[in-house]
Amino acid sequence: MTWIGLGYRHALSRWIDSRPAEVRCLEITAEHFFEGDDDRLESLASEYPLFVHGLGVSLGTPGPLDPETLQRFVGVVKRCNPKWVSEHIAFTRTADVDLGHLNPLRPSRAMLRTLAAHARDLSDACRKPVLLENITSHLRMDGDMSETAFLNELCSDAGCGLLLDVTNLYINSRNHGFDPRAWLQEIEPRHIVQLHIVGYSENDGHFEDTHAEPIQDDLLELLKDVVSYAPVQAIILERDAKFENTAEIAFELQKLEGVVGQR
Amino acid sequence: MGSVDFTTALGKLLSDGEMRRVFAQDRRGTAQRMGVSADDFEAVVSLDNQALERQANALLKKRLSEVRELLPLTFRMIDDPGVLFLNFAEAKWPTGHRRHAQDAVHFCRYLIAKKIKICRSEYNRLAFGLEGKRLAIHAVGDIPTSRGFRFGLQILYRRHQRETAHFAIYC
Repeated sequence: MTWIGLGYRHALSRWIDSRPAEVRCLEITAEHFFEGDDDRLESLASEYPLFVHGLGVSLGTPGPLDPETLQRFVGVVKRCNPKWVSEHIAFTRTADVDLGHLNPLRPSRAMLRTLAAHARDLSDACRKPVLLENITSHLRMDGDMSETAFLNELCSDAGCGLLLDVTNLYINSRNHGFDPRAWLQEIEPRHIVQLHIVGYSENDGHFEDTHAEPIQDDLLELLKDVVSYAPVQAIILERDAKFENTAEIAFELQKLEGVVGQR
Repeated sequence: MGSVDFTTALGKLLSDGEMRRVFAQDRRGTAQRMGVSADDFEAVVSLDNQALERQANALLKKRLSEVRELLPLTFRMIDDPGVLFLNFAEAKWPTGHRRHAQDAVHFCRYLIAKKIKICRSEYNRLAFGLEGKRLAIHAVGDIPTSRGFRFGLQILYRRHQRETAHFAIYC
């Protein structure tokens, strides 16, 4: 069985409360619940299978994880008991500056050790399986390993799974000029547990992840290939804008059901 | 050679436009002055300038988009809010999980210091959310209503530790 669902956003709460048939699971952003809102979290947990997704644990920052962020993250996990938790293969801060958003890591042996150790720390603290997500970046990072070898070894060394953001894979392939299907074939299918997808945007010849557009046909074709290739357990539609058109969001989820149904 | 790793060096470059400009002209000298370690030195000096600039701009645009959502009234009131924000943003990076609200409050203070008119009631509400006060009362001339802005007393209070509320008494 593959769960199809949505990234929970407060702007969608009324629609989600109406229990739309298309929404079969929810992904909670941990930082959105750092300030509390416990009743809401518990109510969602009682209604839907949940996954907790982090934005700011900054697993790629050398040194120990930030204890305050980790404590708050674990607090959210304890309150909603998700099936698994996820974070990004990225850094958002260093010892000098909090950049606040995701930045790429160099696929190197040294970074592999840092990231695998931090993924294990997160899993131990949460007592949940951890999935790690590929990001999109304007910077193409070269290291002493290929990106796909890095991801395979990361999953094996850290005992974690991959949250494959199909949109990010598509965007990087267009911006950096590589074949996303060849990239996919280099990833061990057993590592791919969950997917993210949302339509991309194009600006001045550059592709961007604005999380605001319906899924384009070429992206949907790539999703079909991923779903045929790997034993995906969940697909999350990751919209961060244009929430007013819930009919469109429901239609997007139906399209995802259709892809899974064809497998 | 120093002990600064690749990720820390990249963070410095992404957060500091002046450093990126110097780096574009003298990569090795800048990397040396940053104290980049021998292991990561070549990787840092081979960073693509244009891609670095695009990534840095993407970070600022994401901050701008978050702050625009928190300050819709102020953004409508001022000319070229995006340009003003970008001038402000690179010098001050907010920290922690409340960074977007912090960013918005700091941007308002930057505008106030430049004597640019902002929506005070919007600023008061955001600043109160970040402070520990239980109650604040402000006399303001820009409380938004369905029929435009009105003068009145803006009363902000804290229901619980993390939950704030507000109402207004109009003059």
